[in-house]
Amino acid sequence: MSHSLWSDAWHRLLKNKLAIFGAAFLIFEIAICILTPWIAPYGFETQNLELTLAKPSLAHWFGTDNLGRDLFTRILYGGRISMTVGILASLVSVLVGVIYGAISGFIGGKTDTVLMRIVDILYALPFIFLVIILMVYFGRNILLLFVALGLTQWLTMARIVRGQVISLKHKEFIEAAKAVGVKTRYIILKHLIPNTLGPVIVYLTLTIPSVILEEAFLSFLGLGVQAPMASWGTLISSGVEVMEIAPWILLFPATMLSLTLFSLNFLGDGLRDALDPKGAKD
Amino acid sequence: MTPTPLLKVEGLKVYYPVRSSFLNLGQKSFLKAVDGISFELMPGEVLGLVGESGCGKSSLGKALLRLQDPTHGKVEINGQDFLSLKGEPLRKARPQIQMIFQDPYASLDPRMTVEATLREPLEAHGRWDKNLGTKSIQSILETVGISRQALSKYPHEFSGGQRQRIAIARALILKPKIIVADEPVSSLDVSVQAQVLNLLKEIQKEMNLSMIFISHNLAVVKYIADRIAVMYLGKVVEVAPKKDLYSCPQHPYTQALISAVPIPDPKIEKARKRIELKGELPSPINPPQGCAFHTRCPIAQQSCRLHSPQLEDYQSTSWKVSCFEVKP
Amino acid sequence: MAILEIKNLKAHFHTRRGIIKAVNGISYSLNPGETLGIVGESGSGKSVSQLSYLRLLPSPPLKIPDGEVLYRGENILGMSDERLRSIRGDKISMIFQEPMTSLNPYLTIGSQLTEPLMIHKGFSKPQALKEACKALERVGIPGASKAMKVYPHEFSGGMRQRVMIAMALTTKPEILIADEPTTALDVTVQAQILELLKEIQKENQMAIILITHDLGVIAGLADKVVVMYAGRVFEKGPVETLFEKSEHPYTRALLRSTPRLDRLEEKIPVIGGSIPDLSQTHLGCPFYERCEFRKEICKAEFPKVRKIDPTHESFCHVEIFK
Repeated sequence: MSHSLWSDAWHRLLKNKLAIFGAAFLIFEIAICILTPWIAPYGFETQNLELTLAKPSLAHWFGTDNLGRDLFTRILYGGRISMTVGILASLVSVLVGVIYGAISGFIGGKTDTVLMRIVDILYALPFIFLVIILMVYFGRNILLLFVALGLTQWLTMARIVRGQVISLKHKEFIEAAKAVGVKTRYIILKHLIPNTLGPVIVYLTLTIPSVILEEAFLSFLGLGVQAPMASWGTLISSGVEVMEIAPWILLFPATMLSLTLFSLNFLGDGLRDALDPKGAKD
Repeated sequence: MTPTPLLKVEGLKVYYPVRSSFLNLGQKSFLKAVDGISFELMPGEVLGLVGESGCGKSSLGKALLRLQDPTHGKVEINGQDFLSLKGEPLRKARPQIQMIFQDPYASLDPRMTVEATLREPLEAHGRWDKNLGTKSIQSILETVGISRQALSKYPHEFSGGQRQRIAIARALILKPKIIVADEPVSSLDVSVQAQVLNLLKEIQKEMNLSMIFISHNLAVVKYIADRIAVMYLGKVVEVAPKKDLYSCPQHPYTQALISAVPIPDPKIEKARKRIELKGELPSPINPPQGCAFHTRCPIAQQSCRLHSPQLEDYQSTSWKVSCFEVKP
Repeated sequence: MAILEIKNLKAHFHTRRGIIKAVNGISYSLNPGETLGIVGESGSGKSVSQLSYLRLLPSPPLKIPDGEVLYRGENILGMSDERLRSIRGDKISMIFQEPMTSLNPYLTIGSQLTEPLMIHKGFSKPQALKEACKALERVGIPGASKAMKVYPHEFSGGMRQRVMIAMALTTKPEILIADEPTTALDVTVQAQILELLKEIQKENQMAIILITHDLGVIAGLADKVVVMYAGRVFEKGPVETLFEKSEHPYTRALLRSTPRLDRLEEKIPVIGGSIPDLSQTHLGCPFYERCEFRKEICKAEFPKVRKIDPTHESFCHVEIFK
């Protein structure tokens, strides 16, 4: 049985308790998010005007909001949106960022300079304005939300990948591939990108929390998800409004968000340590 | 009829532009890594290229493989102009000349199996036969002494010597006519060096390969080369058949170099008188006027400071020396 | 009397993969003014054998489970950190292979040279500067007073190594440990540095422990040689004896497989196989797999010492010359 660097990394990851906890929590979360329609005790729109702002009880584990809607249910549905946005937006950023960065880094020269200046300019634009402009122009649309968020994250991914590619470019195994006559596109696809996957995967797990937070922020500002749909951001936003009289309405979604972010960070850190080939020397 | 050279190099220069300092605006400086090198390589011949750091031997190797494009000069392989090729025709011509790199830990992609690494060159040139499958790879692995179990393994599962053998297999798999070996054993332990050297020598003889063997280790080069060229600051200062170079080196730098190499024999070592070179290696960005070696040469004369010597025949056409003080 | 005596030193690294016995019971001694060459390939433990007792390696994972290292009769292993620090850098100095990483890139040469003098010898700054300048001149650095203000990266490899030597010598140590001092240098520069070391040794009556894999360097500088392999000592003796009359299969194989400039060979004899994995324990001789003279007993137990004559010891079950 041969041990690829991936399987070595996997074994090292398995030894990292925090990372395992993070991964386990995330898997649990994703599972309940998928199963939400079946496990949610109430509909997310179901109002019960008799029981508004109710404290947590057996009937409503997390209490109810100002319209009597079950908070637990709302958090579940909100989770679906937040997680989906987070994951999809991050995938968009990875796809665009990796290809852009790899090409820029490998080709180098003037192409690289131009491509990176474009990144610099885009970086300088405050993302919130960009998203607001997009939202105003195209109307509020969940699909648009994740494309917009994805497009703001790819910049850093591109820079990271470009940096990696530049340091790999002069490695001897890349020169060897050139010497042997491998076509440039295959060098990028088969040699460069697999060897940059380490930082990419790690950054991906750190991008997802970032995107979720941005979505929460946008929704908090009223720019993201529209009522009656919920995301953790909107839930937190409503929670703030009634913070003094019903603190649990802020507490539960905020806690869910925090736990998710912690888990993603632990996993990200664990992956970074596991994938670091220097760790193999241990 | 004199045989035609397999590789012909004329006036090869590799100059790297150096950013001029703020005070030197407009003045372009160049790092002259390779500064006008010409030689010929016959089929089946091994040319050793020796020199210390900064002499340009590695840059020359890379330039020959078009991994670093030369700024001037001519390179002909089998009579065909190699430098003017670009894009697809260049890629297709690459199988003729292959390289073995110095660092066996860096020259293999850590995320590819041995099979994938060896298949890649074949696939790149449409030589991978699905029906034959790995049989074509297995025979080359046998030649370098690696068992076929290695195919599914990754580079980090092998020792340095084994990785270098795999790298040699990769260099051979396209059946090149010329191999450029860039310090192929320098990163290996002494006991393993001998194994890989013997392997290279065997393969070279059996396949009648032409080889350019680059090394800073004179004893290693002596073992494998037929003719040896000594480089200093981007130029060849002496090139001679092996026996001649080591028994009576003519160029003062060659003499100093040979005298500096320690010999594993205490009696000889303790009795030796070494030729000591004064000073330091000048920067290749601003090589000295006149003969590049004159600043450290024990026999430098006035004329050496003003004029640059050229390689001239010494006693035969296969022995050339570039020094005003050496008269045939 | 020996100035340094190492007795049955063991140095192990406790890692997740297992215990790596980098140094597995070695003994040798160093006399004043003498040059002891420690020769070995990678994994032999030659560097660890010195770095370990000088506490220059992180411990954990390093542990020294056994052995004595006597400096003038006093066991270094039992010394307090303070006592060791007063000796290290003063009486026992070290120079390393990569001068770029041993010199602090943010400090000028001058400040790095004066430091040991002010700490160990209590010199005042002006005194130390004067001494440092003299040291630089001694190691052949032109324009010493200007050089004091230079930063390490502005020097070439050879010059930096000279600076390292100057630094190691300012306190006039009794023992200089040189760990692959010329391996990273060009051969002409190497010749200069080795010549310099020889001169300085004579002037200061200094003992040198020279660690290297290069048999040529050993032949030129060493009085006594210790051959190490996989954490063990295989043979020790005067340099000429070891090169001409070695009785150990490994030493002889090593000598034979080293290409020599003064010989024309058709084929270099080869040592098959490769250096053993130190994280696996070997009961017997670590060279067993690769040895042409091996016997059953070699697999089972590590050989006891065989005294061929009062100065020449070999660790091998087989007597080659019978």
